[in-house]
Amino acid sequence: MITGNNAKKHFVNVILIVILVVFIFLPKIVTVSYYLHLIVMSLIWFILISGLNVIQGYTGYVSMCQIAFYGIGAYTSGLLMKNLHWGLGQGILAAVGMGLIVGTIIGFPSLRTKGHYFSIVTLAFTMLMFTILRGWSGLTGGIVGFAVRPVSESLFGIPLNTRQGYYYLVLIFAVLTILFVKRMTGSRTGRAIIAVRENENLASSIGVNVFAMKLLAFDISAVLGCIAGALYMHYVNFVSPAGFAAEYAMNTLLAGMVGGVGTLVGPAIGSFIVIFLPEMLRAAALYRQLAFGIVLIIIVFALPHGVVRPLTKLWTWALAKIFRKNNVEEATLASNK
Amino acid sequence: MLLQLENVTRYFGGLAAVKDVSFGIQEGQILGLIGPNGSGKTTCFNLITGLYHPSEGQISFNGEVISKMPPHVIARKGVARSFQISSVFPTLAVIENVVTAHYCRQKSNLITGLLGIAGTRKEEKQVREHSGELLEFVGLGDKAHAEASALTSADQRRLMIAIALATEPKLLMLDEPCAGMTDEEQTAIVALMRKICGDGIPILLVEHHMKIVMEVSNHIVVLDRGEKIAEGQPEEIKNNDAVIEAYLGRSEKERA
Repeated sequence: MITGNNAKKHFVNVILIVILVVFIFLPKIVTVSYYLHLIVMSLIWFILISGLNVIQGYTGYVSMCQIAFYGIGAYTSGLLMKNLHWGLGQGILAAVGMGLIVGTIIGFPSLRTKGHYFSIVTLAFTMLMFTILRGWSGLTGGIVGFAVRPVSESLFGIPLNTRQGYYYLVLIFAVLTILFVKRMTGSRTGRAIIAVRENENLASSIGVNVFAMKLLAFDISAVLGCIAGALYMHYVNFVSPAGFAAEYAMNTLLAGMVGGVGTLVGPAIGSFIVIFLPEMLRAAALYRQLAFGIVLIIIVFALPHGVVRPLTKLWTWALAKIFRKNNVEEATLASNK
Repeated sequence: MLLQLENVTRYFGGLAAVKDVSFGIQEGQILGLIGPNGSGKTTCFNLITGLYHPSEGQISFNGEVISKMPPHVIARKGVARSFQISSVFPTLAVIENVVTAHYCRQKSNLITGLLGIAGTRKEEKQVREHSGELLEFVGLGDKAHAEASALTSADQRRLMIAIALATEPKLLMLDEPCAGMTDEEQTAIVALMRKICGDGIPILLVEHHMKIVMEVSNHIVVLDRGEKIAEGQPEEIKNNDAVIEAYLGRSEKERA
């Protein structure tokens, strides 16, 4: 946000700290274990969708293979634990490495296409990945998948094989993710990535290597997707190909669109909606999927830029009310972000 | 010569869009590149900036052959351009457009950016200050926080010049900077071009308004159907029979 108003900045920081404190004490507030489970899943999805956001929201390439990276991360760390007895930290590091390798291999040919063609190529990769995970039974356990033993590590003395302990681990990764995306988009490199989204010809005329930036953004999305996958693996301690099928690529896309891509908090809101909404709709019993679809269609129609757009407008309006000094121009600009 | 085209030819299919064209631009010059529609002016621009590569001949900049290099490398060597159609970063604020364009002169990378080390923060501060100065320079100081797509087309053309200047070029190439402008706006752009040239950045100018080209250029190259038909001082060009024939037309001469 472009503002020199220190009081306002201070106020925003205070709010952010309050939100963080709420999240830290959330396991004490949320006593129903099942809800804590949904929150953990939402945070894992937030990491996943933040990755998607880098390539889709900031670079402008709609990727349909984020769910495949999720699967690759899960299988990588899961298989290393099962076969080579690697620990949680090593598994996550391996997932990062795998994300970089696969991201580069897939990005190289697919990023030469544009628009819908890129989406189709990445969707094809998701289907291919699903086929490999299901078909290579010797390694992956085929359609039934495989289970691993719960992690033995602990965090600040809280064992990570408890739901609370794992919640804190995922929370740390989610906070690191949001800090990473915020810093990255505000940096020289991040601006070059956004320049590619805005105008590729102009970007190359100011010295941006357009293809390299696209590949970098795709690799970042792959790495975040793989980290999310590894975190998911060691949370549920079981993996099968079913969760990484092409139809789930739609769920990642929805989480991005419903929340609002190209923004920091959009993926967070989108992830919570996509994880929580089906549970809220349990009352509809048989018609749950139908209701889920209808609610999402309404959201996408009513708010084509995602839920986050009206929320930021409300937020800047509230800030302007509190700090009347700000001029209108700043407020409208901030609401466009 | 800062920029030198030597016998440059570019075919599209069997058709030569630019044929055996040679010219050069020196320090301190404003070189006008003129010709009727389809004469190959914009193709020349795209050849110099690396969007296309010459089929024959070569282009050198600062003594280095650049005709095989990709656009971003040529930009980093110091060739900046504006585009014929308005070309900005539309959803970003005007100031962010210019900040982004400092890309090729900044040194920070993803790691230093993520860590926010002191050197990077200082560089960011300098870039923001310099962006503000550039906006003042092109006359957009009061619109710094507007969204680029909300600017009028004349203002977008000013913004394109600011974006080009932010790359700290050794050569500035402007493709119809006055298109769709009123007389006063044109006068302001002419003054701006003189100031830029005075600051030591030579300009290669493509422009349809003859009055402006004649007024601002100190050297003119005339293209017709991809070939160079004349070159010289504005006065010489005005009285060159081939140019009058091919470009200005007879009625134009009678009117003059």
